[in-house]
Amino acid sequence: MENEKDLLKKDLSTLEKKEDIEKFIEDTEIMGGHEDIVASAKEKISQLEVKASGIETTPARAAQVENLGGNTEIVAEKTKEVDAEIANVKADAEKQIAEIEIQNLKKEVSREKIVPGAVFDCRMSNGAILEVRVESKIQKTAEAIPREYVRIQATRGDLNTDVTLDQLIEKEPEPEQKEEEKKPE
Amino acid sequence: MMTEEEKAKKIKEIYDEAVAKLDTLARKRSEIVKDYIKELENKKIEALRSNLGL
Repeated sequence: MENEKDLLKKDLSTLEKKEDIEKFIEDTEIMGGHEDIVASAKEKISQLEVKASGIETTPARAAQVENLGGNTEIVAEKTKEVDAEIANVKADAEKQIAEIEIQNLKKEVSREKIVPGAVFDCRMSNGAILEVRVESKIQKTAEAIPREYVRIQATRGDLNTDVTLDQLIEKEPEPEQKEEEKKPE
Repeated sequence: MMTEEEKAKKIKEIYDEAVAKLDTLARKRSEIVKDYIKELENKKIEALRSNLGL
């Protein structure tokens, strides 16, 4: 079965346009949160863009060609192959840089998979919330046997308190149904 | 799994390699354009010579 990192890698391999790759990196930023590497990747991609666009025929050169009775379309035809190579080098580098980004994401994804659940317990005292328990499936996928955890939020707060992750406790296994209960009367 | 430092280094390596390739291609492209300009100049000179009956 394919895991998420393979899917992400597949996603990236389908991206051709600079904007799409940049969007991918932005999404990665949201999910991964490794700002330094993201900033560095963005900067390098941007520098490559500047570098590649600087290789184009300058207006002065174009004017020189036209003054001599030439045509810029002929220039474009003559430089077609090398222009394609330039575009490939740029796209390949952008893709490789974005793949480094994925490595951050891989780390995040492989660490845990969170599926938010419903509040299943709320303890109050004198009108103040002592503890809210949210049953979120947090699978520690890096572990050999993924286990589920329970997220406890808003301890000792009130209804206006921003909920924060306070601690994770391992979910107690569901009590097994007794054999007699399973059998129909 | 690469460390943050290794990732930054790898990004720089990819970038440097791409820049080196782009520099080579830029020179190649510039030569193509220069050759075309040279060709146009030669044609113009030939046309002038012909007009002057040289």
